Amino acid sequence: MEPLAFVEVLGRHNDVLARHAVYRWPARIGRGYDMDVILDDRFVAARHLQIEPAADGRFALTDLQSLNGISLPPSDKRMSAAEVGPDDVVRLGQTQLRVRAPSYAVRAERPLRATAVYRRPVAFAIMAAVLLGLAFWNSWVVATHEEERAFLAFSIVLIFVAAGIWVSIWALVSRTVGGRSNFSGHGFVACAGLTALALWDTLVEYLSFGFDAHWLKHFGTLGAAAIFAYMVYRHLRLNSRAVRSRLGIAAMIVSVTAYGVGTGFQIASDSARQGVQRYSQALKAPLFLMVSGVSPEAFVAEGETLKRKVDAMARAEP
Amino acid sequence: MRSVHLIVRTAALIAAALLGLPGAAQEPEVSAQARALYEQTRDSVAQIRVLLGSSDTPAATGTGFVVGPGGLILTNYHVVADKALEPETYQLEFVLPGGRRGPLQIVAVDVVDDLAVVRGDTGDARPLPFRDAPLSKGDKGFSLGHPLNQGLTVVEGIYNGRSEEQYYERIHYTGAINPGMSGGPVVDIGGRVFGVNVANHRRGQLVSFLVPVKFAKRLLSRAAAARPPQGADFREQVGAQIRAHDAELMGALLKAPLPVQKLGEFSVPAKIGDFMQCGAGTEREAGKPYTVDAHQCYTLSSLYIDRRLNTGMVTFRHRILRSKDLGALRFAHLQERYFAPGGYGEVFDRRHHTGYACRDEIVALQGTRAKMAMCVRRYKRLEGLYDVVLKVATLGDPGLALQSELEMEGVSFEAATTFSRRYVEAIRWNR
Repeated sequence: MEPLAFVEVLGRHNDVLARHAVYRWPARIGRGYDMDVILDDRFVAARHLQIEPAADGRFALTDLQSLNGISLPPSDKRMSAAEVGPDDVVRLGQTQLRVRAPSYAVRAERPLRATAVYRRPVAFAIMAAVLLGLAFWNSWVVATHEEERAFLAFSIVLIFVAAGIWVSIWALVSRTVGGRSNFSGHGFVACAGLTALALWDTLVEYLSFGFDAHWLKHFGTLGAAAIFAYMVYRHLRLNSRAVRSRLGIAAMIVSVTAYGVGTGFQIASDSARQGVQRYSQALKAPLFLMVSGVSPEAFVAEGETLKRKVDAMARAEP
Repeated sequence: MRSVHLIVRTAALIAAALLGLPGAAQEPEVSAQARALYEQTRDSVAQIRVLLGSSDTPAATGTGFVVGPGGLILTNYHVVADKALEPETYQLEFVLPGGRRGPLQIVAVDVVDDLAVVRGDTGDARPLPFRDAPLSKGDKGFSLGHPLNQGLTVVEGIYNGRSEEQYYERIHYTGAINPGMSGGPVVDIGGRVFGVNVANHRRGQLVSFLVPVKFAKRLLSRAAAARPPQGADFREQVGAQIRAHDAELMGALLKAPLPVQKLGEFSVPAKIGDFMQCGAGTEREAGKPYTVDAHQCYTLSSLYIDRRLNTGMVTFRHRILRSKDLGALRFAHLQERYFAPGGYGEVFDRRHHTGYACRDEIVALQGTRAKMAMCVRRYKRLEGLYDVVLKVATLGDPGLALQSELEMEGVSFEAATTFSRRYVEAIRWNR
């Protein structure tokens, strides 16, 4: 006998969990053992839903007076009857169903491709090498004394250890949730993210020096938060096939929290170090300087704003 | 029989006359002088103790001496500074040689010359007379005080004129003045006071300083008219005196155009007057890829305010950084290190100052651009006084830079602004 239609039980991401063939109309669906499709959901009635063919290859659904009724997600509105096509989902109890006729046309098959480039160990190795190169170059620029070199070598080791822990945690989550650890993929994302953060940071520093613009620093922090959010988003995508927008939101929440906590620590440590002079000490090579500078009188005259600040501080805390 | 007695008596007389010759008796005469002065003045010299709350162990000790009727005693400001600024926390006590002791009230202070007049019930202790006529170099003096808990001590010394090093007028005295003797009198051979112990040179031996008695006379005449309430705090007076001191110092610094000197390829502010001391130094280690030539000046005008606060100094320092084979990038990083903010490691006492407020900007100097930073903080318990720090780092060459730093303590903001402007306008790169 040829099936008349297929009733598909769907998971949360519209993946097919089970597929039942239907051989006669009307098809009845419920928890009872005398149904055409038997569901195992405590919130589904023994006799819950009836399906009949309708015009144009669509199907007519009728609620068989169940307690919890039927609805068409994403709407929660309870319906007594509905008409659905091959891509519509109906919800009964906690189960989601879809009905398709054998004539449903599927898309052509996709060509089998090798694993995406960035997931491969080679990509991870290259990115790690790039990051290491950046770290060494930075330490060469910064260290003008021999003693400093040892200290910087140690800090490079620390960075890589921290990155290793970060990647391992993501790989572990990947393996638990999806069965594959994706270690190389996570490694690539982490190294690429750190490299992007380092390059962005440097760019912002040079720009804010070159144009003598302090506000660029705040802009830079926002950019860094965005880069971090994107990094988290790519990590999540390696794990899960959930809807992308949801992943995006999750990534943004994580990074906003991380940056919020970081800023909080910064503020707390700042107020503890009040005896310290705080100004931007960043100095770069003269060829990066784009502005011609203000006059000395203008600079000294602006000191009035500092006087006002400390006067207010003295008034607030006598 | 009678002629033998006569010969023996004559011989005894001659012997006595011989033994009485001046040459043989030099040594005892000097110490006799010191002893005589000691006997003459000691009943007027008291130990002053600074007590915390009601405890009997002193937080600090010094010396003072009776100078006027009604129990007026003269000592150093720094001996009684704690009580002057925190009257509720500290108590002052005097102890006279006879054992008589009692509480002291502060009547008047002179922060700049480090003197204070206090009052206690000294009974019939005799005020010491002041000397009016000037002394000559080489004249003898006797300093009295309580050094390091050794009891009342007299120290013989030599008057060596006005100290050339100090911004304030001080007598250079060659004698061993030790901690605890602060505030004690220094008398001439007639027992008249010509100076007050105030300090000794940290790096020297027997190089001590005295406050000339004319400042004591001045303070005493002010004190005679003053009647401050018990437990008054002297912050306002101290603040006013520092402001007056600042006006005088900054006036001296601003009186003439700023002198300028050549330092390598740069012209920078130079030593302004005799009251500034300058020094130079160099870092030129063989292994290092850069050299630093440093030059600094400071005014010798540091005022002690209390145990955690000295103020009143103006300092500036220039450093020429020269790269040997650092590239432009690494040289810039070296510059960053020298341009770093200060204040780390210092104890921040929020009772004395607010925190710093700072800003930085690129400035066009003569011959070069530079990054400058300015930091300001305000004194909390003293009105109208600020600390101002100015930093300059030139950005004209990938391998040569001048870093200059100006620090003004305890100044009015207007004077600080005026001097800062002149300072910055005096910097030039002579290409």
